[in-house]
Amino acid sequence: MERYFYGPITAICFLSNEILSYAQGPHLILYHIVQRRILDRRQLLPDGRRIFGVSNFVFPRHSEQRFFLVFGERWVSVSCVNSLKLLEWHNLALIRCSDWVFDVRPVEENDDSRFLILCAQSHHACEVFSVNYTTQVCHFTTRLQLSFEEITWSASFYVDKISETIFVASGCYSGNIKLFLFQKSILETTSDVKRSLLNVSSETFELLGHRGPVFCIRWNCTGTRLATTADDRCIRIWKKCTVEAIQFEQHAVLWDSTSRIWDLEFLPDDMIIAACEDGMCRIWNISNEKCLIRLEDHYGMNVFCTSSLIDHCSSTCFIATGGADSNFHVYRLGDILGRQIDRYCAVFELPSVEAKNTSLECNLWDASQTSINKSSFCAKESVKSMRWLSRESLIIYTDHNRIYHVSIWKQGQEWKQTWTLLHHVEDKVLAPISMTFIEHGILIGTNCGQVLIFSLHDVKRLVQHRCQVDWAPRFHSFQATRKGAVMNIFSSFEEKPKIQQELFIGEQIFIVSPDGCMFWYDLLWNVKEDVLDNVKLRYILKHPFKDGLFTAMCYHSSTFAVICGDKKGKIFVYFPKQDQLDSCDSAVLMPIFSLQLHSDRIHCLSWIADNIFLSASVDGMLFKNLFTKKQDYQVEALCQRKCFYKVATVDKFLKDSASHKLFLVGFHSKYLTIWDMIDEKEVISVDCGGWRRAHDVWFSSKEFMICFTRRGHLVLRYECFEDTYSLSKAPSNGFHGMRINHVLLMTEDKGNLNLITCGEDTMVRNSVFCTQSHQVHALQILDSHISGVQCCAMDEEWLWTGSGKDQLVVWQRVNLTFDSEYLGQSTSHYYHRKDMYFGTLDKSQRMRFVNKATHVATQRVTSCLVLPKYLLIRRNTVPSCIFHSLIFVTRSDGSFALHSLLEKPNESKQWTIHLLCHFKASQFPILCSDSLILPDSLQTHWRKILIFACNTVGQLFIWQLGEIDVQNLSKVVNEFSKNSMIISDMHQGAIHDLHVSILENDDILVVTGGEDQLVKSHIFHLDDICIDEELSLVKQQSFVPNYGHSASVTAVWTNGRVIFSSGADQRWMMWEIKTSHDNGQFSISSLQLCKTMLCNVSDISSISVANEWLVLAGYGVEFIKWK
Amino acid sequence: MGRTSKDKRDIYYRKAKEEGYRARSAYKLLQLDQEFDLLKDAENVVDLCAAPGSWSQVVSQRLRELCKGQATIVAVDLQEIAPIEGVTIIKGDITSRPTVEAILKEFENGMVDLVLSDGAPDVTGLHDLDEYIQSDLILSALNVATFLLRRGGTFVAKVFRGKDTCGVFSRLSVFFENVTVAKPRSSRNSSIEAFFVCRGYSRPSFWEPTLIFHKDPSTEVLQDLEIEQECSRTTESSESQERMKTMMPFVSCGDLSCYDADMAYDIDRNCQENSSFATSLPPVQTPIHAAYENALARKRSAQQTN
Repeated sequence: MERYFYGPITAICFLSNEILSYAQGPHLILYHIVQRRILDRRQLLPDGRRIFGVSNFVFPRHSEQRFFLVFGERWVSVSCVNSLKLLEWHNLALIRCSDWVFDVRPVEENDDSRFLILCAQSHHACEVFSVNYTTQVCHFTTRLQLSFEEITWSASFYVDKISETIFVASGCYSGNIKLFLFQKSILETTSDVKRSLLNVSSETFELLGHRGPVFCIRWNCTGTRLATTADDRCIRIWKKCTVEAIQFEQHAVLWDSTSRIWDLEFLPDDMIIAACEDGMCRIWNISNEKCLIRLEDHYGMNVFCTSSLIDHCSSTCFIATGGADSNFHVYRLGDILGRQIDRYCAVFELPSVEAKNTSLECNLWDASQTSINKSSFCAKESVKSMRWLSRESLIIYTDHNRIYHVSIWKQGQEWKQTWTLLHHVEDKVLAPISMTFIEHGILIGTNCGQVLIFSLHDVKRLVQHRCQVDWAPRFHSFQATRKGAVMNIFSSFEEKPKIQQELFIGEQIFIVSPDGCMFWYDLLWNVKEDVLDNVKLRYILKHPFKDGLFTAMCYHSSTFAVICGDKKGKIFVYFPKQDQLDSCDSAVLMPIFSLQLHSDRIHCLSWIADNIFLSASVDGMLFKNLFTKKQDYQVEALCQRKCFYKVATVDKFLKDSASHKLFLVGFHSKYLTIWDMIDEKEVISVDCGGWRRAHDVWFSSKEFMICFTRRGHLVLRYECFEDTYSLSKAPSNGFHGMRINHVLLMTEDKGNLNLITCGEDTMVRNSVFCTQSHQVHALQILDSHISGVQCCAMDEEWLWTGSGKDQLVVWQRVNLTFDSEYLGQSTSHYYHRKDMYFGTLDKSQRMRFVNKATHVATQRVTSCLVLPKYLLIRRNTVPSCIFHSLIFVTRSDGSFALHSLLEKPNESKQWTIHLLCHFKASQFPILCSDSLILPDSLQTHWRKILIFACNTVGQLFIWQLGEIDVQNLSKVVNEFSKNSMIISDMHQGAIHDLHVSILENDDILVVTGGEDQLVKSHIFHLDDICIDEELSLVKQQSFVPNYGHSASVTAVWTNGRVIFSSGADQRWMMWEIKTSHDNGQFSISSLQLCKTMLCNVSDISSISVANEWLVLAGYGVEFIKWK
Repeated sequence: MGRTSKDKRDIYYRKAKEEGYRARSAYKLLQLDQEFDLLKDAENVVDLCAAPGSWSQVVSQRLRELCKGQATIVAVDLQEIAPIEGVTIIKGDITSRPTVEAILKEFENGMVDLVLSDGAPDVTGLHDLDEYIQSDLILSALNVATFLLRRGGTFVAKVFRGKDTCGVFSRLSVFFENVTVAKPRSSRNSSIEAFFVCRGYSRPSFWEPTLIFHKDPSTEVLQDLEIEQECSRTTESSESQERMKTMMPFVSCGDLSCYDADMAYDIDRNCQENSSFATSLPPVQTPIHAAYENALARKRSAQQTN
């Protein structure tokens, strides 16, 4: 039976500087770091036993053979590979120890052909096995019982080859660490007795200091130091005091992590790395007890393991980390540290403004308050905005209405700066409030609607001769808006090499006024004389709404289309018509297309291809949009995601045309983060010391200059960025790091399976499982929910997802043809969000801030079902709306709800989720539901579909639903009592899952799985002759097997022939329904268990089946080929 | 479990604060008592892994209601517990001999009627390890219980139901006539937690209470073809039916009129019932020494200096 598991990576280990092995469930995977491909994948432990540790070693005398020791629970697997190139795998032995194993270590024997395996176990025991690798025989040697007092949580060995002694360190529940020392000789009991128990009286020593269970213990490679970590969130380093005796003293305590630490590893140069629960990997310098680096590539999900390798040839150290998000990362230690040295930071004081003003008011203040007197004479300016001109020059304007040019450069080790005042506006009305560049000039928009244009050449000249000259740079100005300030100013200028030297250069600039207009000016620049030749107003782009304000713009230079984003998250497309292009009058343009994508202010728009642009907003969402010229300049969202784990608002895109790199500048609380959008990783995160102060980033190939203000200072950071920072990451591109609450599996073409997973991490993932390569590829992350996603349901076009906080989101499916080589497939389904709905709140677009509201939705959507559209009869009551989809929702307060998705035809792409009816069906939370479309013979207009739902006290609700009249919705609620059946005491405790199927003779099979460990199947017969339109279901037969799961059953599935069940005991069971045809009468004779299997997924939540594949979801997913 | 997320602060969390219990787990014992009448015949009660002491609170309160003047209640934990009226508190490791002797010293009038253990290890997120250590804790609690319990006594222990629950169940069945898995309604449906309620203690003839709980030291080495077989094994029907014949009796306790832990109740409704204001209450008992407080203190001081 084929089975593939994708879930947490629990162990990781280097084989060489090119090959890495990591453990996912019971599978060990060999991965080639350089070629970025999986070399081998094999199951080493039986059942779903999770691998907890991997180690590999080579004996000097048999250097061609590499041995693997893999352990998990009480199993240890010993295997060897003859050559890493050919990967001839050979399993030597599989050992079942008598207790849980915490560490395994090989010990070389004097005898050439043998080695011993030491297994450190809980209860301070130690078992020894000997392996003869010429005869390939493995047998039990001895068991050492060390003095036991407490439950152990961790253990580690150190084998001293010279003195032939062995140290065992065991961490206890209370936080104490016990050390045992014994001679190697006692392991070599040559007695023929198969099982021997040695109560060893060894040297012991106790390390006190930790509080709470000890999670990890590691020795350094010489055995002189020991690193431990426990529930108290610190790492303690213990140092050996004497050479012979077993005496350790505390050497250092490393603090920084406020979460627990699962794994440790000593690094060269007195450093140590730790894998922490909060998703970070931290590196400390032990000697000064300082945390040097925090690696945050696991996006806040548990990191379970870390490993390191020192390549002695090139003397580099590699680090690998693996975590709950089924992702791993490989780093070169030198790179991470080098990055630390590469970056430098300089802080400059802003120039103080001398108070020339000696007005009466000021004097009065002087007389009374001397402290203010001082500051008023030497007031610090604060920077309002800044822009980089080039690597070494910066234009800023301050709140004192001064425009400065700042040159910053590094001379040797010192930073130099010069400030040049370009312009000073005394009048507040003329205060600069926006800035942009064109090729030869700087444009500054002012408060009164004037635009000042400085020549760049002038500025350069001024900066060069700043000492000698006393002249202010010339500037042109023109009144850009009729009234109001220049809120924003954009230009069509893009940095690209110009080949031709032209006399006149035409530029487009766009000026935003607060009344919702954007003025499109054509600028003509006389290059030869370096003056502005002509300014002409071309168009006025009007925002269609009253209080609209444009906040972002991008200009398509070949089609002249303008795409604008506004403060409410709408995107507009403006296009000057051909006849208007030639006319000389300035014309007013209205948008030809609009699209509501974001829920908040759009901060930046940028082209990434000829017809694809990105849009990003303050709410942290990033959309990739398709701009279609043919279809009337429409915009279609291609792909969306909440930017990244750390970025809350997006501020800027940075493009590197040379290397096709694309970066994103974003903010999360007080951190400015730069993201690499191609590799999806963080490049830099800088603490700005406050929320979104003035900042700008300049970027060229590998360097970043980041400038921002902080408390009257100007802070400059220089960052050199290396491609090799993170060497490699998992091919699957990560997965949910938390539990998956619901899963849907669908067949796709070419044997691929489409997988929709709803995670507790608020994400819905759309991914593809390739049945040939057995790989999961992430396609898309659907992210709109504000709490864990509970359920999903879909039909051909629509995907509905429901989550805690009573949130319901609908997504439209779009088939796109892709030729991305890494997917190895041609079509994939992308989903676009259409609308969202909050149960107890009004429909709100600003979903991101809902959890701050006082009326927080407290109920959860527990399950949803898409019902056939024909159920809803709409007698032209709402002719203005197109009806798209009907959904049935159950909630944790025991209520049912029916929602419909409507589209307004006038305003295209305006979608609303409309609540049809909502009523309380049960006193207790409803956990699951299923629907059954009745066969034609049983259908009447008042009975077309049956809905089944179960709650937490073991009740089953069956409700028959006919056609619903929109005009008479109250009838639905009134008829619920009449048309429903409640069967109590189906199970003791909660019913966790339910699945319904129709049998050959039109009987209905209902399978339920509950808290009481039982899988129950009931067969109901539906009476087709019925007078009162009442539901008349008759229970025919029940099958309750008296064996099965040993913990609550949490997922069931049936198709009428087989039943699958799965539960908290991690067992997957397949039951066969035996049928008989006596005298042409179809009947079910029995229910038989035919297969059971321990699976790797813990906390199983649901089963989904597509053809011969089934998927189990929980902490990770497992694919099983069941046929 | 099923399709329910682990929910935050529910009705029982709120009620525990209102009614002065130190933790919401108090309601689990109240509901278990409702179902099994645990405290009716009990006079000598030991609460193992008692911190923060909510179960001891319930026991002392219930025994006072039942007018048992001479009842002795002992609460034991590694962590410190703030004093509770009518409860003797012992700080110590339940697996060490001095602690067991100290417990026995408290009971002048014979042996113990009821041993409770609500101990939960710090959950790591890797369920296998959590379940293993939990079952280890039960067995060590059982080990102590065999020292303390009178014939016919009762033992209640928390269990995370997982892969190896059956093993623990069968071990408990050796010592007790009647073992039931119970899930109080105040325990969340999203949690795999349940309780073993073991009644009718009788010491088997072979069992001599010692403090070291010996595991069965049997090992097995599989080689060659056996490895393949073991790894690719799916249990076929007849064999597995035999293996899984032991069905653990399951009881869901707490009557239907009480609150459901998976449901969110409006504060208003609660207010009307209890006529108290909807204000957030302080914790009933703050932890005396949390294991992580050092880490937090250091983090805070680091923030101040920056």
